[in-house]
Amino acid sequence: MLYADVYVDEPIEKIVDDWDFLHEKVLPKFMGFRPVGDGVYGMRQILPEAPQSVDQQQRGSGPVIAVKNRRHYEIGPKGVVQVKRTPLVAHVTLAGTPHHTEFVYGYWHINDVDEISIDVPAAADRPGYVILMQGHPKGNESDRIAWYCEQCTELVYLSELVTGNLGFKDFWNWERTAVRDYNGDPKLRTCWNCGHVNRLGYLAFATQDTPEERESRLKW
Amino acid sequence: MVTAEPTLSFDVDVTAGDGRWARKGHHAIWSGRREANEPPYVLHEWTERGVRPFLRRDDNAHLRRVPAGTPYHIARLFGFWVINDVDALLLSAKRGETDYYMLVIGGRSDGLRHATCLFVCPKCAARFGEEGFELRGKYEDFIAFASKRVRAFNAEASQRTCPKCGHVHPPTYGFDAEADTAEEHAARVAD
Repeated sequence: MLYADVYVDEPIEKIVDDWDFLHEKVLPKFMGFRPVGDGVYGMRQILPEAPQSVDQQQRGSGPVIAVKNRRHYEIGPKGVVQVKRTPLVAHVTLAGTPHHTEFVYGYWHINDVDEISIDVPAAADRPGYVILMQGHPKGNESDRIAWYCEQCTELVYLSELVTGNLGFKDFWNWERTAVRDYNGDPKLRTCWNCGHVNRLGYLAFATQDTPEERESRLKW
Repeated sequence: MVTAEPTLSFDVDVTAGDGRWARKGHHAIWSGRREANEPPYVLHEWTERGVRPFLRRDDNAHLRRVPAGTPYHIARLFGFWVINDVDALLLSAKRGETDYYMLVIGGRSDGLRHATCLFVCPKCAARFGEEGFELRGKYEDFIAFASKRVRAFNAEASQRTCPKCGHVHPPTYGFDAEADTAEEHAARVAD
């Protein structure tokens, strides 16, 4: 304890707000995405089992939750690849890589900054969590929501928000608009290359699903 | 002609705890571990009012963000203090009897360009001996620079003398415990 003589003699909780992002009183603030400093953070409670229904999907301490057996995908030069996730193994998705997590958000997310996710396993008295950390975009750096054809992987629809300049305050409204625009017009979901009509997208907030989106959420 | 595929993603296994740094994209990531018979790593941050330790309260996982520009030191991991130009995050999680740690530095696409090594007086909390380093490649280059400064710091009492209160800082230690001299090892254990 080399520095014991110069320790600040006050409880941390009294002088530093939110010092532990995983504290039970702090964690709910990150159930969506929350910009803090140089990063944007999201925390998702992990359910022990895959959802059997949307009602189950909606349970949890926050509006956005994950399930233990969800699968993660990325798109690269060789097409769609499944990304294995292991507890306490940090996965770094580099900028520009389309990525999607089944049951959690029904689109491909593409950002201009790197994104790190790590599953923290359950403790004795607490559930497990997945922690998402992405850099805060700046200037013209953007977030994109896209759909690629399920049959041939061609891009069928994309929406962009310049979060570097605009920040994240409009993120969820933009997400909802993009998903509803895509779902509302079969032409947008029809692949220009192979003609396949793709499934509906869905929002990160399961509580806002339409019945059709709920059905789609349980499929991909 | 393009001969290499772009890097899409990669993993850092925190449970491996191999003490190595990974630097790709916008982050530098280190992971390590402490067994049940080893005292834990303890994050310290410098403030105008003194040094603030962040002690784990329980066996639950903790995640602390160290804001860019804040001097910090992780007791038993490295004896010097660091200022980064981007945020740092320290995740600690217990599994079984082992404590796992992950230190993530970065975030912004224009960050991780500059880091500073410094020392803090254990009697008056004054900062001294600050020296910056331009990060052009691996984060280990900065770690090597800081560890070299530790050796010079330990070699000369004049370098360890606080310019504010005159207290002589005891010898300290670098980042790589396996490279410790006997004096550095003693300092690491005592911290």
